[in-house]
Amino acid sequence: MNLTIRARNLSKWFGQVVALNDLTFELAAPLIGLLGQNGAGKSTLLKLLVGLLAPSRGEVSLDGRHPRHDRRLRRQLGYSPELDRFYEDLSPAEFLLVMTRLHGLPAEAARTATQETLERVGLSAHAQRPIRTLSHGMRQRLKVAQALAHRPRLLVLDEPLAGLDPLGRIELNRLFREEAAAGCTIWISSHVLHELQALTDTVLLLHRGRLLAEGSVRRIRDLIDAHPHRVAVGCARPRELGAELARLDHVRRIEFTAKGLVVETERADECYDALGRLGAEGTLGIHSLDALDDNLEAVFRYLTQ
Amino acid sequence: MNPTGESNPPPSSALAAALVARLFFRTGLPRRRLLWLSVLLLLPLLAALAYRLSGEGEGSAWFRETAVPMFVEFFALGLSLYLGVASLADEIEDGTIVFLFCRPVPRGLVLLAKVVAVIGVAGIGLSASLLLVFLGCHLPDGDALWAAAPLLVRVLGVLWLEVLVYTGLFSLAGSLLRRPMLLSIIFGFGWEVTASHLPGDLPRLTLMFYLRSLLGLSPGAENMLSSLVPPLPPADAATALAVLLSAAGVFISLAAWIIGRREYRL
Repeated sequence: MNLTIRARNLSKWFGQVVALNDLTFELAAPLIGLLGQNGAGKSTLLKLLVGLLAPSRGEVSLDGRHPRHDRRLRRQLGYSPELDRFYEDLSPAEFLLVMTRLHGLPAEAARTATQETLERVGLSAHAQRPIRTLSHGMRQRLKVAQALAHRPRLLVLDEPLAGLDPLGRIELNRLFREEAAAGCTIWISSHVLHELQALTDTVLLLHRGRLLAEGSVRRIRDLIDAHPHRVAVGCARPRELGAELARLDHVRRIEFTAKGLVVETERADECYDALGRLGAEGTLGIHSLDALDDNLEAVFRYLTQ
Repeated sequence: MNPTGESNPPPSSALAAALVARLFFRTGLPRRRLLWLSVLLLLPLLAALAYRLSGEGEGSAWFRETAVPMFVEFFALGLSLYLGVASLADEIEDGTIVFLFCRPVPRGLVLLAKVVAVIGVAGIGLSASLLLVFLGCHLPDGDALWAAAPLLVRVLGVLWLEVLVYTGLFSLAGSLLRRPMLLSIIFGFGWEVTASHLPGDLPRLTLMFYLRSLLGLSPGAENMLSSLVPPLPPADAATALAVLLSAAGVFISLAAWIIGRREYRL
């Protein structure tokens, strides 16, 4: 059964800066997407959910319990932060072992959980390397691994797909769906609607600390699709990729950049599908996808007018 | 895999503290930092050997009058400052502390485990260094060695106490201040060392005065100002111990309390 997450007049400010402003919601879905631009308050909300921050006003509760000081509740939470920070000299296996033991798993169970989780996130082959030698994608997977190795009831993931290659996205999305199917409640933040759409139909849309919309991805997507969408693609062979993309009728424009190219499309779904397919083929060396914010900004402007 | 229920309780405090301390040994003491600390702690031995080889005076006198104050006022203070501040501030600045704070472990316990780990590292390092210096100053004269052994034991006790109290103080600085290192250096060497040498009552306001008192060292006795202001006699051992242990308790409790409530930019 999924956790019921309730916020009542939830506000958080840091000095003069209001990060979250009077949020009220109640959700019990298996997978919940948190959508908003950088600075919208997504990370703050997620930190409040796992008790890393205390509300300035109002309250947030998980099944009626408050995460900040309830150790037994925190035992059931897993959190993957946005920032790319690690104990760089540890190996992934050492890191996961300590983290799972700190979550209360006995030594043998922690070792088993570590091995299984490394396998699930595709890091078994790199289990003994120092973390500092891992690629960005591997580090993202490791962040997710440390959040789910102890099998939490609530998994809170702050931008877990940022900067991942298409294959990495597919694999992590599959993992998230498996966890949700096994009864884990997952909150996942992104500034890219299409990332969330692949996982869930339930989203919260945050804008400048306010809850702008709550509900179906489809409705929000329709709004977004009315605006052209820009995707920055990091790749080794941008000219060849550009030639492939130029054949698609929904692609309006292609700009070449130092790291690859930026493609502007009228139909983001189809564009992501095409990039995923080309990425999976592996011939063009696509290593990262980043949606640029300008189309989301247009939707926010529309919704707030 | 099914999500966990409440069947597995959070780790016991002792286990959690041991895990955090082990993590500190593994990550807070990288090879380069350990190398510098080892070099630093070998310096007094080199100084002692140089003194002995120069043949200018007695090794036991040099140990008593130069090495002991050097350990108390520079090495123990400096090591406690460096490791005490770094134990917490480094992780807060690096952002890795988030991995500990999101576990079901009280934040105060995280701090306590780090303080204990720092005391262990600094205490063992200082003890080993002092022992080597002691041997370097007294060998091969067995009689002088045994005669000075009680002083060695007393100095070792004072060094461990000093590490406890200053690690507490500087981890409090690490939990409280955004850039704690510079202020800690100013406070440690600027206030604690300098003020503890002044004549008059001012040294009573430093921890160093009580540490020096335990070794029978009087502030200001060797100072030019002592002809104008009478030097303060050392505090008695019971008072010094009470002040130092209370201060350590207050610093560590306060640091644990602050870290449990303060919100860091993680």
